[in-house]
Amino acid sequence: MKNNEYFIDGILQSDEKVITDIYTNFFPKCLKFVLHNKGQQMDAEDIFQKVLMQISARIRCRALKTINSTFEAYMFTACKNLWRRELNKRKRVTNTEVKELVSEESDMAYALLEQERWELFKEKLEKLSDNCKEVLMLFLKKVSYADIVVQLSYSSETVARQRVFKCKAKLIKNVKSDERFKNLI
Amino acid sequence: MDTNHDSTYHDQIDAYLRDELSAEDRTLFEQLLQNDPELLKEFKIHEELFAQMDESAWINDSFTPDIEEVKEVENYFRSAEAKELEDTIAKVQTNYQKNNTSFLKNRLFFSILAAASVAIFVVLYTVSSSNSSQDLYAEYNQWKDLPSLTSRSDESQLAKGQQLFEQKKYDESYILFKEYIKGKNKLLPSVLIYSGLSALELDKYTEAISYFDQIINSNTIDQSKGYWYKALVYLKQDQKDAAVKVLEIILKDKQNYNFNKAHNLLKKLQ
Repeated sequence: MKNNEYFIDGILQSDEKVITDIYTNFFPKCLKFVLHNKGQQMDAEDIFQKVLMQISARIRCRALKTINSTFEAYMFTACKNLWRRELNKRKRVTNTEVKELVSEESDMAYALLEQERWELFKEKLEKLSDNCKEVLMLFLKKVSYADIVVQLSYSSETVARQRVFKCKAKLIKNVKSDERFKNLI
Repeated sequence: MDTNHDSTYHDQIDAYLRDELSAEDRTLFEQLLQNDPELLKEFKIHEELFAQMDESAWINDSFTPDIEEVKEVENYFRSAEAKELEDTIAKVQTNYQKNNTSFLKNRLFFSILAAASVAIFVVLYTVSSSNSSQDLYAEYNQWKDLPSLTSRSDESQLAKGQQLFEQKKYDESYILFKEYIKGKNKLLPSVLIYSGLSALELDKYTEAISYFDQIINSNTIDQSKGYWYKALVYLKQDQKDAAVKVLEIILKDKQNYNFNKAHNLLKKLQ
């Protein structure tokens, strides 16, 4: 597999050959995900195009220097996030807080900033201790406290609740104290 | 804020987001949220947290980015560089489709059409605040999300019909689909859509409606599409009342095709 620089440079230079490589290697997985989640071929194509545009924008006018995970992992996560964003947009109809968007560019800008924000939370979650991460992930997946007690061998639900409370408070504190958080709110 | 207060906050937010509240308590909590900005702020951060693990959720309601930053990124997307990249991607996408499937052959055409329709939509949206039916019709007759008929490789006649339709040669596509339909008693909704839209573009309203009624009565998953197109027939003829009636049928079920669009269109008509 070619390295990340190859793909990123190709995107920045609108290099047809590199972008074709990206399509051949990474589009099928994105397509499969969209098709499995209430989407059509056209949706997947739209999403995939936006993911590439987003990478370009993040390097040109945001702080992104490079992609640290594998390019494939990045592409797939970005594809999944953009698609669930789209599904959520379609779902809410009468929400009073719906932002009135008139242009594609504006919508893509929101999507990009939301992706950055999501990554900030993800990064802070991953930096927690393994114990904290473990219990918080179960909690966020809405596993019942009774089950959390069993899975992580806690002595009681009260203990489990205390752990969750502490770990969550720590995570939120870490998010809030990050300079990007102030930037973005 | 004292710790106790903080902890009560968190308990309620957690219970709500983990779906542990009764319907009654949910409503109470939602009312509380409306009246307590501090609670709402905490709640939104929690929503963002839950979106880490819940693949059906996203943060577009919980996080509002700085408007200056939005503008800046937006400007990049409007830049010549971004447009060039967009074009290259569209081109690659077209070739990729050609090489991989016979599905959706006219990608480039579609993208241009889509881009054009976005442009038209934006112009119409910003220019006209009061909408005539004809203007509204023009917003919706871009026909860019139509099903592809070329995937049915056994039916080259259909592929030809789709192509003619996309080239806006509606008189030719109309005749071709009419021929195809003759003598067949079971028809795919997608074929009926193209037939009906060809008729609609040629102002053959009665025929268009009869095709869309066949979709409505078809018992297929695409059944609700019939309502949407039928509404457009009335819209084009400036029969607002009839259009409103059909749109109201769409709004009875969120699963119906173009539920959101129907909602918006109805608002503009009323």
